[in-house]
Amino acid sequence: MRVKNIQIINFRNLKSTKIIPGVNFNLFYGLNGHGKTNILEAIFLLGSPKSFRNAKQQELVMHDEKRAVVKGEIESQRVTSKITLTLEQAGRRVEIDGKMVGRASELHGKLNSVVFSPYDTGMVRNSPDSRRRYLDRAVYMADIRYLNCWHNYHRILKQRNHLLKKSETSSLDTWTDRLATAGAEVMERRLSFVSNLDKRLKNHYSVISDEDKAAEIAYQPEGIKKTMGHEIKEEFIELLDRNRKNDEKFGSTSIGPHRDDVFFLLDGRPLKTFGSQGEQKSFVLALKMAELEYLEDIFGETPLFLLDDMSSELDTARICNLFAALSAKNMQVFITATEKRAEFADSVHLNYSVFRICDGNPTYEEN
Amino acid sequence: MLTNISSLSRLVSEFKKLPGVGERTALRMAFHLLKSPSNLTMLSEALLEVRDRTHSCSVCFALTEDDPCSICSGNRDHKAICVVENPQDMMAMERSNAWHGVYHVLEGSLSPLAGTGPEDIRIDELLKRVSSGNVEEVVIATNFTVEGEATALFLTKLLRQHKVRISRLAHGIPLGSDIEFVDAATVQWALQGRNEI
Ligand SMILES: [Zn+2]
Repeated sequence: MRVKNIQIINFRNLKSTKIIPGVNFNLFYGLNGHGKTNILEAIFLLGSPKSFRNAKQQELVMHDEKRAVVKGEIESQRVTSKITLTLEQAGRRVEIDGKMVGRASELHGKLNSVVFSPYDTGMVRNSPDSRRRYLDRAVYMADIRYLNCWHNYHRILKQRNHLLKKSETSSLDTWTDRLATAGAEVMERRLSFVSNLDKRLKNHYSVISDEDKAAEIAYQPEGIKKTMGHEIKEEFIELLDRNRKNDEKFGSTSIGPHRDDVFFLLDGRPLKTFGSQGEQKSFVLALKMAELEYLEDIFGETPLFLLDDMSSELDTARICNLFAALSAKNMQVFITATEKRAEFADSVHLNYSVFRICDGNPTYEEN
Repeated sequence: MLTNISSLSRLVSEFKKLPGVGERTALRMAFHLLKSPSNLTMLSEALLEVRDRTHSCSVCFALTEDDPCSICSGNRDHKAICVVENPQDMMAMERSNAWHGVYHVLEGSLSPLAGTGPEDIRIDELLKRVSSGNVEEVVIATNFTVEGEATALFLTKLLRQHKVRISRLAHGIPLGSDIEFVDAATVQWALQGRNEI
């Protein structure tokens, strides 16, 4: 998958920006606040329903403007298509080759990107909801049905929570049953995704970190031991029934995939408390590489890799290891950094383009 | 408000209450009617007539001018009831010409968020019809939404206590469409609901 060109209008601080990226490595460098990350975000949004920065729609539109537009020509399965994304107060519209697209899922798989940004390293230490957000976004990329069952689950959850606040309970069993069906599907799809990621993780961790420690990602829904959909459902119903008194008291459902956590382990110990900062960064980077390879297997094409704020996030050794691994794939990579660093040129074995970003405007630099 | 003529403003305000109608459309509709007074008269008569003559059937709660409705009093299979959420769904079923039984309109679906519980829709009335003993089959044709599915499950549990065959409308691939162009979710549903032939 590749972005052949991209035009960004009224998007955050980017008034009108046009970039024709190179086929492999692309470095956007410049001072902070000049819009480097905004370009990455726009590229990401061409293939994804939500920003990786957890931004609200109106934050994406330039102040005092009605709409932001991101247009891109992308190549996937040897076919070039034009994607036009219009972001307005009312929502977002997507056109593919001039035709309006009804559902978000029609964009699915057209342009996959794996992002590594400061938001991601933060998730190791943050509360479970930031890890859950990561997991949801990653599963969605790999699994087209996930978005639909996730939405269903959350709609049913809202209905059930509303019912718990009231004394009318004649239909509570019904909503519990529906919640368990939808919840079991969410859990089953997460379990399958995480086990696929885990298989690939150890290898990537040792490549990135030059360490021999065993990296592991684990998802075990709270209170659930089974791994098959219908068995999970039975267990989940029992769990919900056991918690019913408590849930009625607080007027909300206290257990389920909306509260679950995903665990990062190094040599069997929690990364959050036992891992050094360097190890945490290597871990998340290895996680992203595992994701990249899993998406590669599913779609038969390598996704984009977006590396935000390289300078502050990674040291030279890790950057060299990462670039060597990415160079082996003949893929498209986008990187932002505050300065051009020597190791960039040294460790990349493919052609690369450098753009200096100043006030949202890119200047191509010969290298 | 776009006008200072109070009767016109009132009409525009009423139009704006209709689904999908904004201020500009409402104003356009109002001026269109004003161009021809006979149109205005016909519309106002039609509105009053539909208000005075329609009500819901006392048996099945379909929209009707007679009571019971033409389907309940007609030559249909009264042993089979098709349960729908609203009169529009029933009309859609009728257009298919594929159902020869009678109907039961629930007038809604279970939705705690909308304040609709089992006692707010016509579930008791359905159970009374079923327990009268003449009903052999109930087809649940509520929508395939979160609320419609919950309603279907709720009904199923209650109906199991009666001696009736219960079935759910199948969902799957739209007729006349190529499987390759149907989205993955629909294909999955269709596989789950496959029939032996
Ligand atoms: Zn009737």
